[in-house]
Amino acid sequence: MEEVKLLGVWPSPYSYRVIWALELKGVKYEYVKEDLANKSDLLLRYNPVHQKVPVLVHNEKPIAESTVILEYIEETWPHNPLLPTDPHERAFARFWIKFLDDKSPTLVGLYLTVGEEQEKATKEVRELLKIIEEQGLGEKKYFGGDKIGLADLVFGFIPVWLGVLEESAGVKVTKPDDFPRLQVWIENFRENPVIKANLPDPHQLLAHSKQKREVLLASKIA
Amino acid sequence: MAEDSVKLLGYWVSPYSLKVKWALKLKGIQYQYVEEDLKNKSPMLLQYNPVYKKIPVLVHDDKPLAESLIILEYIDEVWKQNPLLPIDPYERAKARFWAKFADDKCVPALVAAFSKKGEEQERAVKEARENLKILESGLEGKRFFGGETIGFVDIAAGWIGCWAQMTGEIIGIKLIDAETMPLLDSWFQDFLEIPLIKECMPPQDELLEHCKELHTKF
Repeated sequence: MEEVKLLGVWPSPYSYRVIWALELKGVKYEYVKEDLANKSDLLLRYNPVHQKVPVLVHNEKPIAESTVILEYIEETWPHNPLLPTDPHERAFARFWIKFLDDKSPTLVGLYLTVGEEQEKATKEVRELLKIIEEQGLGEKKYFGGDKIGLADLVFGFIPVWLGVLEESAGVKVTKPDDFPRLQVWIENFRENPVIKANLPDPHQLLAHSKQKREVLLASKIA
Repeated sequence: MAEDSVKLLGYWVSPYSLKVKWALKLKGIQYQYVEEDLKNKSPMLLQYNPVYKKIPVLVHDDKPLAESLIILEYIDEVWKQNPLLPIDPYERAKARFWAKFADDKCVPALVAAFSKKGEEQERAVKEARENLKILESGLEGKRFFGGETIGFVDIAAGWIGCWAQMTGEIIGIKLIDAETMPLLDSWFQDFLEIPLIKECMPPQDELLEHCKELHTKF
């Protein structure tokens, strides 16, 4: 009897990556909503090192760190593969997954800054999107190739969260004609039936994001 | 496998290229090593790693790969002898978790302990020690992270023992001590004594000189 639990928080792109992977593979799981301001004993027991979400618990064995979880899911439930079979292509997918995660301070910087600093952050995010489009995506339909894969789930940050960060920060990073290939990928990503059925409510996300920004900026000035 | 089908672009003091050397040696893979001058990066490096322009880069059959842990996974997938990662998915997840922890948490604290001064340095030293203690828990009482023989995490993080000791010597503050981290301390010692590991290390005196010189710049 398989028992799969996912501890997550609703606004988190890291939790969603795992949700999407489980859903794409049709793995049945119990979702446990965590409150990061009041972490459950379960979370502290399952992820004592980082005390963060997401945590996947499979038959009582906990796995933390979203990219580690994604690889675990891929290996444990190999049907509907989310990584290519060719080792070089797999390495390529992993490289881009790491790239996005390494650059997350830049992306979030857009949202955590004001004035001149924000202008600088906006420019940096544009440069990032250019690299992602030209070198990550290239001429491919998905980051992983012909089908949606783990790298796409990680880049799902862009269609779902980047716009929200922009709006709550009162900034627009891209104009409609910018990054045409990335735009096509965004549409393909959003249209995937599994992704479509598992998205955070955009209004709630925006409200949450705006509120969080106010608190973060206030604590910076204080 | 012909030597010219595998190339490693590295830098002699870089622990990141060292990890890859260890993995290639462990698996008995012949390769051509190219020493990069990081102050004057070669067109080859810039072509093979346009995103980060960093070493190590592994080139296999003309296809380049960057990022040391990703290179290790690739090496493990292509050359199956002397596996780095265990077979069981949960054990593999634990190995990936600890390798990531070492890179994300231990290394930055170590770098900060080396490069900062005063209160910032004190905080960094404290953080480095705490994170090293946590890393020790990942050993789960085993001799190596890989069990009786070295594996993925040993190769990914074993270098930290040498660099932490060197940092400790230079800044005059011990980062790893046998009293509070006995298992980690033995692990580092055992790992660095393994012949193939030892053979690939840069000469210790030159490494120390290099680190001392680097330290004067901070």
